[in-house]
Amino acid sequence: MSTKALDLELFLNYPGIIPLSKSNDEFGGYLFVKDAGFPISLKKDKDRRRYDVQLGRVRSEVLAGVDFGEHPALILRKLSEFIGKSADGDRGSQENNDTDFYRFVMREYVEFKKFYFNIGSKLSHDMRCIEILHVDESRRQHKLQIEVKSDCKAAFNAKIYDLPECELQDDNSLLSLYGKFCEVVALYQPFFDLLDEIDDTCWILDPETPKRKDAYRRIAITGNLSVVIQFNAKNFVELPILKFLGPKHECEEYSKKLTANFSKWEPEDQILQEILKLLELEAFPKKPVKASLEELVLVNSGECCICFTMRLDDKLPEIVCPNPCCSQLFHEQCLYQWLFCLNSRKFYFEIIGDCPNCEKLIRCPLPKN
Amino acid sequence: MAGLSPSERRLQKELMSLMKEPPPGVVVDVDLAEQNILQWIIQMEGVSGTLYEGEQFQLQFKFSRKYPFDSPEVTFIGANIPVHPHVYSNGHICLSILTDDWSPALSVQSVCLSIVSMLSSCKEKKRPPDNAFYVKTCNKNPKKTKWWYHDDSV
Repeated sequence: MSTKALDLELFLNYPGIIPLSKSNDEFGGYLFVKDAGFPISLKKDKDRRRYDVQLGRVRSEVLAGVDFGEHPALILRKLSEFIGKSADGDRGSQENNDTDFYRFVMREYVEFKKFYFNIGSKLSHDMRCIEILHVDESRRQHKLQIEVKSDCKAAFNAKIYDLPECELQDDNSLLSLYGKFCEVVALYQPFFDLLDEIDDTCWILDPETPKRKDAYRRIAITGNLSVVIQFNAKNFVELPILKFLGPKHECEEYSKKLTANFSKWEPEDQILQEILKLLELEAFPKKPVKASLEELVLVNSGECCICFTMRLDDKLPEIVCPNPCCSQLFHEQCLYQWLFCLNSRKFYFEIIGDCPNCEKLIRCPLPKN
Repeated sequence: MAGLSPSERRLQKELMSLMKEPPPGVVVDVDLAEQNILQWIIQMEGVSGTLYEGEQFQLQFKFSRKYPFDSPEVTFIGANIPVHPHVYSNGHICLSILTDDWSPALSVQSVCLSIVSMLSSCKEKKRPPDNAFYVKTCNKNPKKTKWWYHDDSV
């Protein structure tokens, strides 16, 4: 085909594309395939041999099989063919769906705003994410992040929220989803009050940053002794599960107190007070206020005696030296590594060697893998 | 302190502690240690009332990536090597916790204290009996030496 014929083809078949220079060096406009327009620009590179092609709204694979050294009409013919074949060709009809989708989200969001004009909320630019900041009756803040799905009917999916034992179902109405969220928050108010009281007055070793969905707290009692309290969030007034972690003799002592006292549990009273009553304590110790800065101790309470930290790969030191004069804490991983270096005696499931601190016998389970 | 290995994290913590609350007479060169956390220089002062009163010593600590599972390499360096029955004239120290009796529960601080107390309890300033032979034949790294611990009293 002669260049003239190709020029004519370019002029007739691609009305959306216009030359931007006199010498066929640069073109711009829209390439129409199945009534969908794709923004395009063609510009000859420095050597004036090939065209640099920018094509919007299609995947880059479409450009892969095209020879850009040919006449623009041939390039466009190839591109139209590829776009037509690939799914991108359906974008035209997608466009209408998109508009419907945006309209739907906007309508829902405006409705929500009309109802709750005083609630902090944010709709992302792409209209796919809504953030709501809910304040409950005790002025606690609850963040709810909602993902908007476009491919199914129940469009609003509660993606990130901090509530215990609760699964919010997808909903087609933003108002109704938020309503359900508020209901759950209201239901858990007394439990949140308890968690707040514990978090404010006790020294929490675990979780590192306690969240409302965590229904347990590991609380420091003395030196190396701590207790894990596991609540039933739905019925937190029932006796929680208490587990002691620390030197063996101290754990046993507290377990005895627990056995002696648990019949005195009165769920009508203040739960934290009831827990203290079980343990025969006045109060849990407070978290030392930045003690680590003023009097810098090498190994603080609760820290592993080998790596000198509390958290290693997000694990707390769980092994306690059985020698009551020592009672040092170790991460399983650290102690195993040391005993292994020493060529200590290994059994089926544990390794036995000298405690790095007191040199008395200490046992460490073998790593699981 | 994210991104540090457990060994670097521990050394960083030890450095902070030694900087803020050093044992008496012990000063760590913080700038040098911060440049390379695996090699520290520590200034040590002879305790008053002992044979080393008024003397200044320099200790070099070299840590491997396996610290604290691997003991640090500790030697006296510089112009003044203390004259002591357990310290060779090339700076090597014969101290069991630096090799066989090392434990990861020990720290730079506890090693410093051991060395201070080793010096302080000395009754007569003299070199080890095998000093000349050892200095001629030993490996540069004192940890390679198979030590024969002479006695525990000094």
